[in-house]
This record gives sequence, C-alpha cells and structure tokens, in this order.
Amino acid sequence: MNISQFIKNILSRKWYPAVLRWPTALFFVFLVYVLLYGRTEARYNLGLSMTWFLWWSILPLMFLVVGRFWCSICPFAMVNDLVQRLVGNNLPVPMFLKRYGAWITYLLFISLIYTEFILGIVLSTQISAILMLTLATFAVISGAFYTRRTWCRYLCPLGGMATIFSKAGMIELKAQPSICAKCKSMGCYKGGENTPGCPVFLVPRISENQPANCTYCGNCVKNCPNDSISIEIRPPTRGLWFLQKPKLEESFLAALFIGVGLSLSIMLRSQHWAEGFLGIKNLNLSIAALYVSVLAAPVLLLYAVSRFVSYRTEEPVSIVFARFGYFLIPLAFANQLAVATFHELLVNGKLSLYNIMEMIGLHRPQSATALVSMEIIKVFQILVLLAGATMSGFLAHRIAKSNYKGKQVTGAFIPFLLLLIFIVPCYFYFYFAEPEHKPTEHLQSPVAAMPSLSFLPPKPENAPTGIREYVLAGLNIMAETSRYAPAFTGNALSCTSCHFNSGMESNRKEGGISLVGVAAVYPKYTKRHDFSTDLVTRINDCFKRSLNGKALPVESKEMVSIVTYLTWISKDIPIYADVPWLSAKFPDTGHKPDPLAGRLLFGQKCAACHHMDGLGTKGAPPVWGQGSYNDGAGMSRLDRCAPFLLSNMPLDYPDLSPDQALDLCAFINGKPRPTFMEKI
Amino acid sequence: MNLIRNCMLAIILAIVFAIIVLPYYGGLCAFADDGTTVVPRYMPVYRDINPNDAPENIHNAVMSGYDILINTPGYFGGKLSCGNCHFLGGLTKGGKDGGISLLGAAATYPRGSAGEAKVIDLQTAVRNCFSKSLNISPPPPQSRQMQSIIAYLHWISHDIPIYSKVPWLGLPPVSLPQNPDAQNGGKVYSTHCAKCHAKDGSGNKATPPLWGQNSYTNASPFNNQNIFSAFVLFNMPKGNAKLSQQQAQNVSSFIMSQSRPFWVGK
Repeated sequence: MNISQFIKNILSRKWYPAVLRWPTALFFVFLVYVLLYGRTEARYNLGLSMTWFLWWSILPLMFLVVGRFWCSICPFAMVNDLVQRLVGNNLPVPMFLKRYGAWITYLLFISLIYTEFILGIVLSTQISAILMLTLATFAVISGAFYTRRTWCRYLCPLGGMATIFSKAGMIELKAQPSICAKCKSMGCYKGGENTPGCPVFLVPRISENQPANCTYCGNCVKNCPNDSISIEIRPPTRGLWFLQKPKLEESFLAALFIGVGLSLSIMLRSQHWAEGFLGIKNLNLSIAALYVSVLAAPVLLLYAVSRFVSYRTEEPVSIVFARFGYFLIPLAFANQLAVATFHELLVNGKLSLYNIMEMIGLHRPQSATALVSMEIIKVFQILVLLAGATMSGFLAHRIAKSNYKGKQVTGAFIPFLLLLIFIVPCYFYFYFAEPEHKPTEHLQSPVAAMPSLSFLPPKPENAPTGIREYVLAGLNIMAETSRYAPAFTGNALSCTSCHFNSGMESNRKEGGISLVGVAAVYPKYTKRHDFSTDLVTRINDCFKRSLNGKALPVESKEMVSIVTYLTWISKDIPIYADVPWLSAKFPDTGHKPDPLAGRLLFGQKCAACHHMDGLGTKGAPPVWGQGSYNDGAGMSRLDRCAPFLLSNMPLDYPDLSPDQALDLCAFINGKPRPTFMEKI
Repeated sequence: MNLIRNCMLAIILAIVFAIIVLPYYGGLCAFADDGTTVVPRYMPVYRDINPNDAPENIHNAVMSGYDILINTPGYFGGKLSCGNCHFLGGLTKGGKDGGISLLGAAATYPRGSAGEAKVIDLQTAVRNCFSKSLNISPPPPQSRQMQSIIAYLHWISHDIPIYSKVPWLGLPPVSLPQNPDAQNGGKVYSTHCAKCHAKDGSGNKATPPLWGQNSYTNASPFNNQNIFSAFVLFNMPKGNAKLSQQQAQNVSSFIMSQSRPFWVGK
C-alpha cells in the first residue's frame, strides 16, 4: 500500500479525527489552567514552554509536511464545533469576510507580533492566557452565530501563515473531475447522514483553494459516494509551479512574511535598534515605526520590481505582482524555520520536559535546556536559510518559465533574482548581528537570562538611552562582581551568588534574595547604623561585608551604575510600597541549631557543589574560608542564613526543613572566614 | 426551542466573558508568587504631605532632613537655604508661586544629567546642590545629615512609582524672548526686587543674597539665563509672580552680570 492510499484510509475512518481532537482539547484546557494558575516565571511554566517553545516551533514544519492538519485537531476549532452543535444559529458567512477576511487575518497576525515585541507574550503567563482565552471567545462567537468554521477559515490570525505554507506544502487532496462531473449529491460539501460537510467551505472538485485551506479532516472522503477523492504527495513548493489563478493577497502576504521574519530577527535580538527610530522618543511608538517600515520594505521592493517587469512584458503590474510574489514563500518559510524551530525548539527543547518532571514531582535537572550546541544550531540556521533562498530562486525561474516564452523568461526572471540576492544578505546581517550591549549570561540555561515579566522587572536592555549604559554596567557588576568591580571585591562571590539572576527573581523558592523593588524601600532604618540608611550605604555594606571588600566611592561610576540598575528593575513600584516578595518568612520551630547535625547534612546535601572543604566549585561559591563572606555579612547570621537556605538550597530543588536549615547554618557559620575589620 | 437555544447562548457568552475579564482585571495588578499579594500600579498623584507622618523608625531622619531643607544656614552657616528655591522644603506642587517641587523627585533618579554626560543618582544631585548652589561642601555620604536629607526626599516621594513621569517637577516650559536687556533689568530690579533682596543684592533675613560673596556659585543652574528667568517669571515677587516675560529676562540678565563666587569643583 502506498502512502497516499494509507492516508486516505485513515481519513475515511470513523474515529478520525476525533481520536486526536479530544486529547488535544483536554490538554489545551490543562495548559490554560497552568498558564493561569501555575508558576508565573516564564521558564518554569509548562503552559508557556509547551505553547511557545514546542507547538509554535513545530507548527511551520507541520504546515509544510501535512498541510493544515493542525486545524482539524485545533482546540479552538473544537470549541467552535461544540458551541455550534449546542446553540449554533448557522448564519451564512458575511460577504465582507469572504472578500476581506485574508487582509483582516494579516492585520491580526502582525498585531500579535507587535504585542509580542512590546509586552512579551512568550514570557508572560498572564498575557499568554489572555491571548488563548480571547481566541477561544472568538471561536465561541463564531460557532454560536455563523455556519461551519467561519472563524478558522476567514479570521484565525494563523490563517495567513497556514495558507501560504500549506500551499507550498507536500500534501494535496484531489477529486477526479470526470467522476465529480456526474455527481449530484455533493456530499463532500453538504455533508452526509453521519458526517457534516467540509468545515472550511471547500468543494474538492474545485481544486484552486484546496491545498491552502484543506484541514484533512476526512469529511469529504467519508461522504463521497463515488470514491472520487485521492491524496497526492508532492515535492515541497511543487504546488506553486503552475498556479492558474495567482492571488494578489497571497503574494502580498509572502512579501509581508519576509518583513515579519526580518523584524523578528531585529527585535528579538536587539530591541534597542528601535530606540529613537525616526526620532520618536516613545519606545513603543518607535518599535511600531521600525516594525511597520520593516514590514513595508519587502512589499514595496516587490512592487517596484514587478512594476519594472510589467513595463517590459506589457502587463498590468498587479498581475505580475500576484504571479511572482509566491517565489518568496520558500525564503519566508526557511526563515520561520530558522527563527522559530531551530531557535526556540533546539535552544529550549528540554524545557517542557523539565517542567513536566517538576510537575510530577521529580527532581528538576540542572543541565542546559538546549538539544544541541549553539554552534550546531547556527550552522543549521545558515544551511536552512541558504536552502530556502535557493528554492526561492528556483521557484522564480519556474514561474517565469510557465508564464512567458523565449527571451521574456530571462527578462522576467533576472529582476526577481536580483531582488532575492538583495534580501538574503539582509537576513543574514540582521540574523547574526550582535546587540551592542550583550547582557551577561548568568546561569547555564539560555532562558535563565530572561526576567519573568509577570511579577515584573523590566529588562535591563530596555532601559531608556539616557541610563541604559549605566543599567547594563550595573548588571555586569551584579553578575560578575569580581570581574567588573575588582578593586572593591575581596572574595570569589558575586552579588548574584545570593541575589540570583542579579536580583531579578522574585523571592520565590530558588529565587535567591530578590532585589526588585529595593530602590523603593530604601532608605530604611537599619540596626547596623541605628539610623535611616540609604541604598548607597546599604550597597556598600554588601561590599564591605558579604563581598569582604571595600566601600565604593559615592560618585564612582560603579556605584552609580549599581544604583541605576537597582532603580531600573524597581521601575513602576511606588516608593515605600509594601513589596511582598522582599520579606523572607521563616517558621519559628524553637529548634536549637545543632552544628554536628549540620555537618552531616552538609556532606549529604551541599558537598556535591560546594565541596566538602566548603571552598566551592566552579558553579558554586565558597561558603567559608578566605574566599567567602566575612563575619560581618548578613549571611553569617543565623536569622539571615536559615531563610535563604530554606528556600534556595540545594539549588533548583530546595528540600531542607527549617530545622535542617538552622543546623546547616550553625555548622557553616561556625567555620573560619574573614573578619570584618570595621566591626565594633 | 429557539428561546432555550438563545438562553444557552447567552449563558455561554457570559461565562466566556467572565473568564476573559478576570485575568484582564488581574492584569492591572502585579502578582507575587503566592498569587495573593498585589501591588497596584499607581499613577503619580500630587497630595499634601506632612513629614511628621513618617513611620517611626525613620521619623527622626525625615524630620531632621526636613529641618535641614528649610533651615540650611542653621546647620551649615552661610546665607542660602534649600528652601530658597524649593519652597516649603519642596513640598509644593511647583508651577506658579510654587518654586521647584521635590515631591516625587526621588522617583526620577538616577538619571542622565543635563550638564554632564553621565548618570547621577539622588545623592550626587544633592551634593551638586550643596557645592554649586549653596556653595557649601556637602556633608559626607554616610553622615546623619546626608542620610536624613535622602530619607526626607524619599519619604516625601512615597507612593510615587519609580521612573514614572512626575508632571509637576521642574519649572513649567516657557519660550522666553531672546533679547535680554541688562540695563532695563536694573530698573526692574530696583522696582520689584530691591525691597526684599536689598539694593546690593545681599538679601535680608528672609531672602537670599542674589549676588556677591554669599550667593550661589557660577556653576549653579540658577546662573543659567533661561532657568533663572523661568524661575523669576513663575515665582517672583514671591507669592505674587507678576513680571512679564521680557522683564524676567531683563532682570535675570542684570543679576547674572553681577559678581558671584567661583565654583572650584568638588
């Protein structure tokens, strides 16, 4: 049995696609629940990692290989169908949707990407949940009022991408015109006794819209009394070679997608290019301006080239534009693959696995989340982009050959080839350009550098131009104190040793001691000074005690940088607000700390990273000895040390009891360490 | 049948609407980890602040900071006081007759400074005020006096979100005529200013010296034509600002032409 026969067999089964739809829908409900009520830190939320790092990465590949198969098991379509069955009014599709639906789809899609740029959907559980639920609402409305899957066919924001990628895809559903010509039942469209008709308004006999919109739900196969329908497997892009009726909106979308790809590379890598674009001071507006220009550029270029060609072939420019726009699809696809699949999937591939492991109560592994090394990913990306570019060139030639004769073929082909040769280097340039200020990588995991947006410190690199240099310098000092402030640091510790992720975590388990909001709570009374103490003085206390170093001069660049960084990550928090995540809770069990028990525990729980002699290893700081904090540091006090251990140690799966934390602290702080010189 | 169907439709829509609205409502707040605690996103709002309301453990610092601002000579000698520019210790709302407000200023530092190509934090800004405007060497960073000033400035900014735009800070924007006439300014001075600031600009008990040995240095922002004119325009004569834009330009040009201490750096 060959493959197409096999697929057709599956499509004709009664249990297909329900057997796939129901689990998907249930899993979707679960993911939304996790998004709403799970952990708010991006990298620990299964909903986020599954949605954006798995599903979104695989999606373009799915369009290419199995067309819009996803749409037949999509949970939103499921919502649509269920509501329709219960309360559907089955109104016909409004005319304007048929006419302009595609354009609305594109608009929704580019606004989604813009939302991602300014709000960071991918990193925010809340916004992602809102997005999911909004889409579900639209599906409900569509199901309640309109017939079939109006939302899916005409409005779903993914529709655009799905259309052009599936059109170039490897699968096609065909009906034999000779058989269909005699058919009077039209079961494929109208539906039969047990199975409804085509959900996306297609008649298989009219093949023009077929590959772009068919969801391979199998309804037509089940309903066809004459067995006229067959599945065809074809090489990728084959579907674009001999288009009878090229569509202007699809060509437009292909060009638009080139711009989307470029803008993804630009914004996700270095948003500061947007800063002050066209002299606009408002960051969101300048991002919008840059975004719109990047989107418009390829469309305008394509238009210009089409115009040029249309002079020579003496055709209307719209026809040339519509005809040749398709040749950009392979390049757009390759870029989507390079950005989404390789970047997100390969870099964060294991994240979902880790999150599931954590959810079912296993130890969360500490190793990196990437599936393969970064170098290999880069090589992949280059190869994919080059392959896409080659396909595009080939396709342009194909299109020219099937529409023109003789000399005109080269005359039409060459200008588009030049356009391609102009676009591809742009891709590479933006793709591999490094941001001017590269934030330091703090932990092994590539996503660890991303702050969690839900509770909400702004990204350091998003600081406004006037202070950004200082914010980033401050971040560097926080992350690698002995490297960036060597003159003032007396040991091997960094700020981030206690304030994980440079203080940008909330005070959750494994978050270290949060610094988000400190700029709002200082000056405050401290016992050390028996007076109100401002942030500058407090920072110097850290340097003199925890880092066993020297005080930074008040107006030094280092000090101002640290203060600026801390103030920036406290942005929007009202001064002297009660910042809940800054207070540590520790239950009072009345336990008498026992250093001997602590010693035993240290061997069991801590020595693997901090070494039995307490001098630390590469990834873990020394906890006693000359390289550690001195005896004036907060950490050398039981009441500071124990809460820290309780919620953070062992790193990534803290499981100490309060009593154990006390025992350990008693043991660790009983060990020799530097003396604080100013101690009275 | 139709009735039942439409009722069900309404119910479904209501449920979905509720599901959507709830997270939106939550979106106005920032959740902490336990999902319970909420920090509302405030807008900066001006309101009367009484330093005496400061919480107990920083109360003495805030009060002595306040005292330093309104009675600077009492602590450091000299004739100038922070309150000369920052009326009522900066507790005003700025604008006409309001001086230069400090309420919320703490939320806007560290920031790029106009004069220097670097970022300065609040303490540096205060130190600049001391050395450039008050012509006094600033108290050491960890001294109680400095800590008190910083505590006071933060306290009077309480509830102002960090790095929000505080509209009443600074002088209101104004585009002044650019042809100051110092000679005419002398006349304006003797008509409107000399009564309080004395003919020789040396001030009296309640008013600061405008030039001469006891006045601000040449590096003070007040030795800048536009800034000083704007200040005069909106605030002088005190409590009843009534000079025209041209008069303000003229008189500040006159005052700037007088001699004053030279700033020798920090």
